[in-house]
Amino acid sequence: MGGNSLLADVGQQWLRWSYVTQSSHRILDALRQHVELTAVAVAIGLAISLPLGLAAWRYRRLAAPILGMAGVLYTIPALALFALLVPITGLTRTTAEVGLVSYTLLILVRNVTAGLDAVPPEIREAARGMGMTPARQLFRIDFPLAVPAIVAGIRIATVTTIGLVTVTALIGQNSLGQLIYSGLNNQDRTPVTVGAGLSVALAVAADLSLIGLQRIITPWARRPRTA
Amino acid sequence: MRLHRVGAVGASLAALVLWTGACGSGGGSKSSVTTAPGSASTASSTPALGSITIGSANFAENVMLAHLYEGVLKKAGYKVTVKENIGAREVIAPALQRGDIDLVPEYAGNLLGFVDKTTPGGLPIDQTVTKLKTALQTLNLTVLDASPATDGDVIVANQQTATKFNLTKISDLVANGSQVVMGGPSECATRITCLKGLQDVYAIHFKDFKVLDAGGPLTVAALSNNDVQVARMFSADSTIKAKNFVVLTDDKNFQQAGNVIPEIRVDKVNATLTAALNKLSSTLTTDDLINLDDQVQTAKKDPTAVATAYLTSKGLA
Amino acid sequence: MSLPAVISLSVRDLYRWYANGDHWRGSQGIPHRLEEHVAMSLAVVLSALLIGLPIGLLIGHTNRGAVVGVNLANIGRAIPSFAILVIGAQLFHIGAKPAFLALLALAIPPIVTNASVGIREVDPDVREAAKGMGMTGWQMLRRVEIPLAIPLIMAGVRTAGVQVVATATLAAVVAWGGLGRYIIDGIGQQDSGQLLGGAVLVVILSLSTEIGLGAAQRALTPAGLRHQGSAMPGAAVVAVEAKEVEKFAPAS
Repeated sequence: MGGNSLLADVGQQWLRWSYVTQSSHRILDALRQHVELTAVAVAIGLAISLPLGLAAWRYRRLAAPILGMAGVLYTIPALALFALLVPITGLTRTTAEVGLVSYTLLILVRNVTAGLDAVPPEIREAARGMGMTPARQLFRIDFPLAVPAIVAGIRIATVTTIGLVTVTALIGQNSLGQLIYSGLNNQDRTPVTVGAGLSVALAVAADLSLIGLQRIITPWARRPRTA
Repeated sequence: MRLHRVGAVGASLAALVLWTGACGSGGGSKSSVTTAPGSASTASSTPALGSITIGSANFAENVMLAHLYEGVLKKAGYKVTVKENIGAREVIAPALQRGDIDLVPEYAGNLLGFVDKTTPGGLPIDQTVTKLKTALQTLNLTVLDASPATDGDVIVANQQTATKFNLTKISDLVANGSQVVMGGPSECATRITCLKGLQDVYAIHFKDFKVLDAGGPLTVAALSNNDVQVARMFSADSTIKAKNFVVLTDDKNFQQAGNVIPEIRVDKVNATLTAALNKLSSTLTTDDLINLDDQVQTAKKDPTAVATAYLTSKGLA
Repeated sequence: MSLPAVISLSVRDLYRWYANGDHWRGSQGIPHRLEEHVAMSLAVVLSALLIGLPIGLLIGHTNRGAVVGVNLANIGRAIPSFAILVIGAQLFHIGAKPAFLALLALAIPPIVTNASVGIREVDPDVREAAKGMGMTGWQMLRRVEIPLAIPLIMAGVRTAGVQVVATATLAAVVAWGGLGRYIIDGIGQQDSGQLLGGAVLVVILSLSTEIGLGAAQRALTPAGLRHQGSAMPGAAVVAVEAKEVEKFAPAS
């Protein structure tokens, strides 16, 4: 049985290159799917959070209920939320996306509100003084100046979502999490390493590119650092 | 600072590469590409038979079986998607009924026991299949031909426990059950082929029951470390021999026929599909299954690659 | 199934699950699982404080290793908790040990980052004044910097606390107990009463943790700084995120 013990150790290796070459299709599929799930979730989350954040900023009375609702959604454990949605929307991407979007709302709404709040009052005064309509003001002054905070929120939401997408493996979705999950199920460390490593790389790459994106669209947003 | 710009450009390039499909596989949630032989069928660009989604439970053998089905159906002209690791039967069943998946590799006796909780153990396979077809009718599901290959539930004890209590058959546990901890998956507690069956049919009451997994790594580790003394595993699992676990004979015949069988939605059944899957089922033997399991479980080879290699060797793909 | 049907069936199942006396007894019962979950979360956060707070304070006070301090939370956040749990389970035997270590790895980064950023943010003028008054470095840390950094430090503790409580539910996937057990078993046995029952308990626990730590933050914050920080769930997360992220904003 000596040969057996050698084979039994195959799963103990943290990174077998034979796995990477043999399963390259599987890995790339998982990566592609992971990115798609993330991008859709953040995009939809943003689409929902921009108007909600605006409403919370414009009508103070709405701030508490909106943020409260988003906050409660945030505290629901991810796996439970997905599992509760399955009877309604099935083992589908929709289920995954509904859950993922829910988790982006708190961060994004908060940051939209905070960003709009941070617009210096003097500038808003000046805009009003120049005769800008509220709508114009919103689009030419408030939102553009809120961009750094909004992008900060998008960065956090994106990195958080990339992590959460791994959990969707437990509801039959393909992603880097599926590599991790199959590694767990099959007592094999390599897929876990690959799945986890690529997740981190993806998160870092996303973070850096979003910073780059922000610099490109708001070249004026360089604040002198306080001391 | 330049790092950020590099990051942005780099990420966009990477995105482009990914989406032009460096891998060549189609989009959609889980299309797994079977390498080499399977791609012969990509010559027929639009599959005439439409698409089908195959689901699998969360253990390597079932994932591999799902890819076997995938291989023959792709050859038959289907566009196939595979959803791996969905979970246990309890999760797969509603998914099938909802249409999230169309087809899943099953085990005849266990499936029957799940669908009809009054099923007695030890039914021969042909009776099992007949009963299955009847029982599944109301759910708009059916089964095709059963394979001679079997992989059934077995109760195993680790070497030290088997020696200590002189265990060869399951009823040997009646006397010592109260000193023994059993391990199994979440669903074991309620299944008549598992804990519940042991309590009802054998009158065995264990000291404790630990939730682990479906005969997978957690179970193997727990048995090896004596965290549990007895556990449920699968008969075709090569780990049993490798770890010197002792399979306890089912003397009261409470287990069911573990023949591999395709379970499928009725609206997906047609002559081509049936022929393809039946041919595969009749080809597969228990020895084949044990060998394939060894490759995916022990040698940790990619389930898709293992499935493809098998199909090629049998001229099925 | 239609949404209204699902909701009404779920509410019924939920009620039945809570009403069942068996679910309140024994090692699988609610009190025990709740205790497991709270004990684990408490142990993790306290350990994270023990390890992370000194490191963060040191980084902030001496201004050495600032890059690590400031970036640690971001790096920590980039590692999926699911991955950490599975890696932990593969390194150690199943159960509490991998869960504890994985959760610890999750809790330390926000505490280190917030402590280091909190200390660094202290107004340099205040530091000058303290030095002028003849305070030693140690005294400055203890009497000036830490009190002023409390809002951010506590924000870090709140972030860590809530994350640990939430991620501890996931640890059930690697055969640990806690409230996540109800969620995993509820899925495995398709028992929606159990699944919902567990989920509701986790939500209550998470919110209580947020509110409780928010109250602790208020209690510890020096009176003059009380206007900072809010008790809204997740507010702590965002306040510090926005602040620390500004550090990465292009500076000229």
